[in-house]
Amino acid sequence: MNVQLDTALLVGLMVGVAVWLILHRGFVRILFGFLLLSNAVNLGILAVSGDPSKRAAPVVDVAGGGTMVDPLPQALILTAIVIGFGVLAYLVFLFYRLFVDNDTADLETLAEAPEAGAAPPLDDKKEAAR
Amino acid sequence: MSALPLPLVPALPFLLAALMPWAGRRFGARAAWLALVAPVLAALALGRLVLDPAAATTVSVAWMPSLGIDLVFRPDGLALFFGLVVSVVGALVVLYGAFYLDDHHQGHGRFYAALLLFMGAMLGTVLAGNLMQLFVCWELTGLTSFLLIGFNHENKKSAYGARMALLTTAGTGLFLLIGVVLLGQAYGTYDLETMLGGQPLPGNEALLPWAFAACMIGVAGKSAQFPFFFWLPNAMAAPTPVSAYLHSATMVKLGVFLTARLLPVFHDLPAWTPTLVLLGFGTMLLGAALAVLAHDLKAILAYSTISQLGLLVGYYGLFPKGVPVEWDYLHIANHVFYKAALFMVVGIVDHSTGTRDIRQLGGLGRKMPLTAFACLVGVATMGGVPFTTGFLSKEMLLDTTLAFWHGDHLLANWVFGTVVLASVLKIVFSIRIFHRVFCGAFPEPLAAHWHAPSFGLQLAPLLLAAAALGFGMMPGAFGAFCAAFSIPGKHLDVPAALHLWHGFTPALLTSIGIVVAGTVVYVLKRRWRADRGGVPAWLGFDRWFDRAVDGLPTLGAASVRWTQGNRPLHYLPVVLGTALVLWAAWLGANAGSFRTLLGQIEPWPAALAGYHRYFVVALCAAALAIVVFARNWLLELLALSVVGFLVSFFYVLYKAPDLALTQILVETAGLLLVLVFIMRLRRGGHAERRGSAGRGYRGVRLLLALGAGAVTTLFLLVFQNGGVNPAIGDAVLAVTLPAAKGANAVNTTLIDFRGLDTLFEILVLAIATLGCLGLLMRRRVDAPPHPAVSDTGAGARAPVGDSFILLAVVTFLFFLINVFAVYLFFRGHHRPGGGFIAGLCTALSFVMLGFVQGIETLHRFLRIDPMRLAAIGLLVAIASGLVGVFGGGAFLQHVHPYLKNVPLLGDVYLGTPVFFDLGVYLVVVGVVLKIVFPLVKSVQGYRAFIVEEEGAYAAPDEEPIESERGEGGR
Repeated sequence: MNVQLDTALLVGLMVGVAVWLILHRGFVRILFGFLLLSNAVNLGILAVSGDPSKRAAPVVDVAGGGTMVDPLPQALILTAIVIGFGVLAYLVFLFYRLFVDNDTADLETLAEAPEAGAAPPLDDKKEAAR
Repeated sequence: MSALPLPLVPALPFLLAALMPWAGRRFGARAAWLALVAPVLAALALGRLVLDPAAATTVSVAWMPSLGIDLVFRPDGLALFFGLVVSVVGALVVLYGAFYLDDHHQGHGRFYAALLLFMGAMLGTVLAGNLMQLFVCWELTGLTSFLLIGFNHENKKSAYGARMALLTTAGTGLFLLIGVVLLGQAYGTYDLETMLGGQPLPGNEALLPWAFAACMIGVAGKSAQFPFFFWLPNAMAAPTPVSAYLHSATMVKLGVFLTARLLPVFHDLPAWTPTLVLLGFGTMLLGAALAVLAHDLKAILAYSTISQLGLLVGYYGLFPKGVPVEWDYLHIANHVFYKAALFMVVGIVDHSTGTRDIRQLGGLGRKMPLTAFACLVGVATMGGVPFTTGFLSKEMLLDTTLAFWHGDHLLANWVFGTVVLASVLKIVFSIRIFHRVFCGAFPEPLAAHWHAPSFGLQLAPLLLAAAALGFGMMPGAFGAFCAAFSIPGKHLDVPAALHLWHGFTPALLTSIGIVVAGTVVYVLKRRWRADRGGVPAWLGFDRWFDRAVDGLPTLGAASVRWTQGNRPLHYLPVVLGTALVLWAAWLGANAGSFRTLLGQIEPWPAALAGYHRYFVVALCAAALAIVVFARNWLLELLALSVVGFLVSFFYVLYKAPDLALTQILVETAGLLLVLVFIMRLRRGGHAERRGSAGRGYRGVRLLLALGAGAVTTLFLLVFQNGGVNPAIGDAVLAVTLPAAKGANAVNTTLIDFRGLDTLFEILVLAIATLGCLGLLMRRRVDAPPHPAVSDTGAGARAPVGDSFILLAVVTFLFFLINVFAVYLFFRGHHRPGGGFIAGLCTALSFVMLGFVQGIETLHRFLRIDPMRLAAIGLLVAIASGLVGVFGGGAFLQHVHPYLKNVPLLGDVYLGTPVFFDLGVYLVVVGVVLKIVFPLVKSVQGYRAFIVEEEGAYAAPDEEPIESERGEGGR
């Protein structure tokens, strides 16, 4: 098998659903979308790193002399998975913070709240500094 | 002191500066004597190179060889001359500062540290043999001068002056960077030796005029030329030793230095002479006129410095290609002698009387005769009276000017006219300074503050005055001194000897005329009582600067108003749509080339194994359908976790066991985090709600989702056969066992080959955790507690209900998982596993325990703050990397020692990779726990959470971000 159609379809499906979710107005669904998107992208990168069939895992003494898959993308994706967790945590806390401060888990309600997220008028800042 | 290596000359002040904060605390004002070591040693080392030209060889240290940027120290005449100026005046200034900044002042350590840093940066600039290095040091002088000018930063004027100086010099410095890069492009090198001696690359000559223009903006900013001169008078808010050092002798001379440095590169440009002459001599006249109008002694000196700098910059314009430079060092040295001395004199006057306003001073001649003498010599030199270096300077200047008449007549008229006019004005304010400060009667109001200056304070200006007088009376010696620094090919080979008496030359006659005219003007001006007035505001240019600086935030706010919507639902579709359209266009444009590729797809797999994969894809699709269509967050989350775990199946298919393990664990941790968040939302009474953003928006969403999915699929199909370059991967596989002593190439890549990446990764994790804690911190403490988080008496109750069996099983599992984690940790180097995976295992086991036993029990059990655990992990990882450095290798170059013949265990492996992995393990455990616990506590409405996480980290009331939200927040 030369081309992994199944992986491509799966990643495409995941990305599509992730985009659908991220464009939602609720915090939880945006989180879901983010989770899904990072999974999809990691898998996608691995999928383009070469055809794994008839190759062994990159563990040298087990594989013996046979051909092995490229270990570099794997190492980078491992890093990406862990970093993705860090970013997810930050996102969760950001939403948590917004929720606690504004008592809403909805982007549109947040945007309609007066002054929410808007930059403070500059003149006031200056006055305060003086 | 036989041979101080050249790179140490600029490095020594930097090293000594590190000691200064300590010395300042320990010795107070006497820290100056320690600081004196650096300039004295530098002066001796450079002086030795002047006396022994054979020893003056270029020293090169590799810095960024791949970019052609090295640290090169190139002691040619120009560098040595300026280096000596910097170090000798530096020594005098530190000596002066030792008495000036007595124990009434504070922050001696900070002052001398900044002064030494500045000195090092200056020496680095003048000795630089590489243009990039020169630029870096050049900007460093700007930064350190900011610290020095703003030394009394509580004072508004100091802060203002420092900010203006920094913005002006650093802003124009960016133009210099442009010039430097253009020069690098034109010559194909940043090395000065090659550049000064060579020709621009063929075809790149057209870059030179642009480089010249950019460099001249840098020069004009640094050397306070028109129209950037306004920063220098404002920088006079600095302590006087700083003004004497930076604003007379050194930093402002950098522009002059650079002009001289790049003269061989630029002087055959037709623009060279007109640009420099118009800019320089124009500034000279303007500065002199403003100096006459100013009343503050330091402002007078500042404007006169601007004037003199104009002269020095313009002076090089008189030497286009083919005309060897002569007497440039003479003019510079002359200015250094008298201007530094005069600044120090002004400092003494200020110190003793408490004022610098020339209108309030008088009669100090009797009270401080030594200072008066230094001042008299200083102003005489400035005015160009015989028997001072100033006379020689003016004679030679007039000589050169008159000789220039043979060139362009219009420019020659301009040069001669401005020189004569500026010289007359110079006489006027020279007389004014001495007459108004030291002659006449001592004004009564000053008596209250009066105290006599110590001899030590007056020593430095006296020494400078003595130099001006001594060299002035021995012109031969002065000429020889200047000639010692001449550069063959640039300067006149055999300079004419200097004499006091050249006969009745036109220069002498003009000189006499200037002195007479200046005196007459001064007397007339006294008659007119022109003490009112002052520097007209429109000539200060400060206002324009202020307006520009104040305008920036306004511009920023306006552009934000125009461009930024704060609704993701409005801008996200635009961003996504744009990206999709671009990608789809790319796919469409390359349709032909990969149509064959798409043809190779076999939709129906040959073997049964292929159908397994389609089965998994179908499972995922079903789960995703639940995510999209379900109306229940928990159900959606579960469906999502199905997808996440099935992805690990694909990782196995792609022969990535490490990834599969990591994926399962991270997926678990992430799902737990989201689960806790959902529980918190539900606690706050928020349930699932369908968005009602309108039918149109749903259509856009659907379109974008379908588009994104389709484009991704096509991309993957195309790039799967795009030809992966296996070189790096194969290399890693080949050396993983011999070099990194590990069979698992993924693990050795993480720990060894790309260890620095991993180190930064765990650092990022720690930073992300701190960011999460920061978000917790921003809690408004004056607001009543959120109803949902108020005390519900949850106490130590565990999230999961009390169940003895569950407790027993989980506690047993906890130990089992950790034994497994230890196993995973140690096998990691050779088999799938390692620090990341083991860390996640341990962290999840703790989270599990926390769910069953309650967070407080767990805290008691852990005894250590998880964040500390993460910090320790970082330190362990860094320390394991440093072992290689001490072993003579690079950072993170691992060593693999064995302890031989340990009883019971045999040979024990003690390589640094294990400790690096241990650091990774600790960071992962700490980070995951620190992230999950506060949220769990919040869900439970723990009293402990409010006290610990919110109380300890709550932002203070006056924190602006909270107070601004105060009115409209809810």
